[in-house]
Amino acid sequence: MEFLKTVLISSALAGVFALDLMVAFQFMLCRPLVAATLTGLALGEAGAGLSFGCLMELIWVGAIPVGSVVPPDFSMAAVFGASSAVLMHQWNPSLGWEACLVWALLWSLPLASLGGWLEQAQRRWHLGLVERAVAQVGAGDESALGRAIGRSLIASFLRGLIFVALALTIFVHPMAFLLNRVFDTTRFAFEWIYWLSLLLGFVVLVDQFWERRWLKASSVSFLISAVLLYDLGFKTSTVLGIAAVAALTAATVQERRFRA
Amino acid sequence: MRKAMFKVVWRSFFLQAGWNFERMQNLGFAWSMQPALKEIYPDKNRRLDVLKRHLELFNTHPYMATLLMGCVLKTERESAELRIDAAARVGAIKQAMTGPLAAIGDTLFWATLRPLAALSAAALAWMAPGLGTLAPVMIYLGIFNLPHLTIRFSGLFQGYALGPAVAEYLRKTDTQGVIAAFRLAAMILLGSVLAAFGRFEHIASRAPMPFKDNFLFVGAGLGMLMAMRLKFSVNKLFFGLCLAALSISLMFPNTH
Repeated sequence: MEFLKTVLISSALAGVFALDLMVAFQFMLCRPLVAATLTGLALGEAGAGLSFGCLMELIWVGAIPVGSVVPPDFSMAAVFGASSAVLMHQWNPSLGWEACLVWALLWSLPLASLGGWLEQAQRRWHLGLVERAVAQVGAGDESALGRAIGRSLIASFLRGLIFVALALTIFVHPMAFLLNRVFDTTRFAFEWIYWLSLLLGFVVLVDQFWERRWLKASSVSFLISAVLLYDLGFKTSTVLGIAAVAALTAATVQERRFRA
Repeated sequence: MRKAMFKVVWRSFFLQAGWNFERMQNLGFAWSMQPALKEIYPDKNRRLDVLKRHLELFNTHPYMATLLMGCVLKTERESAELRIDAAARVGAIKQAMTGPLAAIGDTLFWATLRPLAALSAAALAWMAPGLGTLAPVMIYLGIFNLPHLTIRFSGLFQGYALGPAVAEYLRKTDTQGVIAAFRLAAMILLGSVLAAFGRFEHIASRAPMPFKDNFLFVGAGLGMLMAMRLKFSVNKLFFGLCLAALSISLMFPNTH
């Protein structure tokens, strides 16, 4: 019963995120960090969802839809990953969150590629939809455009819903079975993979924002934060607050200087 | 016309519905323009001709599109008042502006604001877990959507007010300065987050990280950064670290 409830909630959310991904609004609810956290929240494990979302978001932050490029569908993968991690942990709490999250992440990556391929297929299907609408407009039916838009929205919602429902139904039980089999020999590996992946995520961000002229500012921020944290015993939240104020001030000064 | 303009903004949220590999955002663009075109061209036959014209190839950044929509609507209105065909003018405007708008949108939203929102949310999640799990989500959505919604709403009215002069307005807009400022802010924040990495605790289990309070992670991070600067793909790095960790744990099963 719990499994069925999880599948229903997750697939309904996946349908909504599939809309946000391409065809409607694009408020970025579909981004892994948001999608996984909201999925975790709906399943009663918001912290697990957030930590899964952070990993996926940061590591693949560079996969962007420029022009006609369709990147892998990380929003469906995030919903699947967060739900499957929560389920595996519910079934066997002794597995530990790191193992469940890393295992779910590894399985969700091929599904992200499959999701991207499905999105491409939908875009190809849109061509027929649009050609029909153009012909109907040519015949004097103005409302054909609205109907075509509506069909596109319904197709996207169903794509997300069916994809995640099927993926959870097919994969979660074999995933849990295999994880239980390998857990004893690989538990520390999962722990290391988890933390190193998070570190990789932040390194990917450094690479994204890399500009030689800002390296000095970044290094000074690193050193001051390290002294505050490790020598003076400041809390991480206080250091974050100080860094945020410094970042905002520097950005404002820089922007004014650029404008001048 | 003002009411119709608000309808255009609302419909612009569905610009990408019907995105296809041949004419891209044509369906969403034509459907978004429909309420305003109804006011500009009350005659149905004339309006149908204009709609068909707008069903040709169109592709730009979805958040920047309203600026172009406003500009096109102004041109359509002027042409309708002068009773001249707007096809050539509108075609030229669309052709000239879709590329630059897409470039600005891609750089500002996809390459700058999205990573910045992700960084801010992740920093909040790991460095200030006391604020709860929804605070990072709110920060992410806020940082991204504040500029998104501002540009989407003001873009249409700005484009309509300026008309074809919007190209000159875009040229004068200081997007490069704004992007440079965002990148500086991100690098300062990243320096602090990386320094605090040794103090992170797992969000779900509250377990400390394996290299707590030592700086081994700095070496690991520098190694990863060097690999990325040498153009190793992120997938190779991720699967490489998975393989390395699994191999070590299988070779030395009793060590942690």
